[in-house]
Amino acid sequence: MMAPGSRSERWVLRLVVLALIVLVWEGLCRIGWASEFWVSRPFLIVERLWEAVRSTALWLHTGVTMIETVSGFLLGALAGTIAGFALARWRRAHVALEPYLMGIYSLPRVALAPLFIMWFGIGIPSKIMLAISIVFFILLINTYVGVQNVDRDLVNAVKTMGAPPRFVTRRVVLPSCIPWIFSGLRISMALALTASVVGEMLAAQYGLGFMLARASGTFDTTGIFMVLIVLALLAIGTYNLMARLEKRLLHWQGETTQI
Amino acid sequence: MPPKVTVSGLSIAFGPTRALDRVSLTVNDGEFVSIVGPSGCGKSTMLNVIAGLLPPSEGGTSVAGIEGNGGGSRIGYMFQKDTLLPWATALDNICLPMDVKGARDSHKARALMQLVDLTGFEGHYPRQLSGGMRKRVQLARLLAQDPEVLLMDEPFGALDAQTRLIIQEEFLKIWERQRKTVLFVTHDLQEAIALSDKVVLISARPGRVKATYAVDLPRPRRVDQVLAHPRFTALFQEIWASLKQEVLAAREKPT
Repeated sequence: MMAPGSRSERWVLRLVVLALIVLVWEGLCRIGWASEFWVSRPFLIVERLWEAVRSTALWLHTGVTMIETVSGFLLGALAGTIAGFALARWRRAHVALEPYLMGIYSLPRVALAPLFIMWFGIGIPSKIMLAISIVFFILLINTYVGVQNVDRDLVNAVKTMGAPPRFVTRRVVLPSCIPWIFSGLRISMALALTASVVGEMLAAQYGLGFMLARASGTFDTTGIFMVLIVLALLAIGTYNLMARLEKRLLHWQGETTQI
Repeated sequence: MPPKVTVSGLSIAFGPTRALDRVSLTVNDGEFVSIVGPSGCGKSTMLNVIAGLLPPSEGGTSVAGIEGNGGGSRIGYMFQKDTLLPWATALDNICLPMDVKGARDSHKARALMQLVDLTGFEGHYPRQLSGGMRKRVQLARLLAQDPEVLLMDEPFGALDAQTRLIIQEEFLKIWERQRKTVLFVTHDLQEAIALSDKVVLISARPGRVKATYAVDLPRPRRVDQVLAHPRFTALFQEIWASLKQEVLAAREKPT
């Protein structure tokens, strides 16, 4: 008997679920209750994935999508964080810009894709810009709210020790914003990937989104499912990377949730 | 010798509400003064003004003969709320006031950890410490700052009764050795009498100095023995009779 909730039991349970899904899916197709044309079939997908992994095409497309996602994420996060601090620091700028920022923030940013494709072409830059346009605002708002939520009592306590504003910023304001920034980063990573894929689906020559659009255009269900699996693996990988980084940097907070 | 802390004709108004009304008091060097009064009488507000966190509406305060908070780190402030940095270890929290001055001395910090009986917890984060331990870290941090005046705003108010008694004992022992000037705000009249040289009673809002009582109990004191002292009982009854009126008066006023 395995201990309930132990690591090995968890994995066994999860594999059982996977096996069930594959079995039912494959079985329904084999007995003819489901059509391969519409839902493909697990073994076909695995076969296609294996072929793709051995060829260079999948790596190229995955690489392009990752470059777009990571560059958009990093540039957007950096600019958004700096802008968030700036806005919290200069009240006037906040007052003047707030309605416009909220306006753009409320806009579904993928709607900007056609514009970016016109401006920056069908290559990598337009996807990076799209990712930036999403990530920037999330970090801007999270950082701003983080600064607003700094515990005034902590600030006062350190001030009465005779600390100059610079010291208060470095030792109190910055560290207390980090959880806010991180929660922004975690959402942003997933949304940056979404932005790249959507951009690629609209107009591109490379990338996983391009693969999806092409497969869909040729009614290649197996191809679509294969790309979806690659995307899911990428998303889980980056999420866990962020969670691990967060755990390291925020160990003073204790347990954080992780998949 | 001039008084260490002077509050002269201090009034504070928040909009139409007058919190403090022409309060004057002095604290001599090395004196332990407690301030008691009903909730909302402006006790904490007064400490905030002395600390320079809040501007006075009228009148003023001075520390060591200098207007305002005296500048630099002359004043050490211990809040009722936990004000330890949650992202810093106990040791780093104690070092904080030394970091402000740009002179970190981890030997001194370790000695202070020992003084407050927390050796072995240097690397713990605040969330890993009990309420009583966090108070002791704050006490050590206050001592690390080595200020001329300690302002304490119900520092032990949030602790359970037993832990409070133990911390009061420890604090009293440390204080009687160092004899720093203390201005101590509390709800707890027993605590005020047991620790102080002088108890100042503030009236219901708008807060005015209603009376000042000298606590002529011998030092060094031990909190548990003081509570059984006949002079303590007499003082308690005398001050409580007056304080009770204010507490009742404060209840009748809209807040």
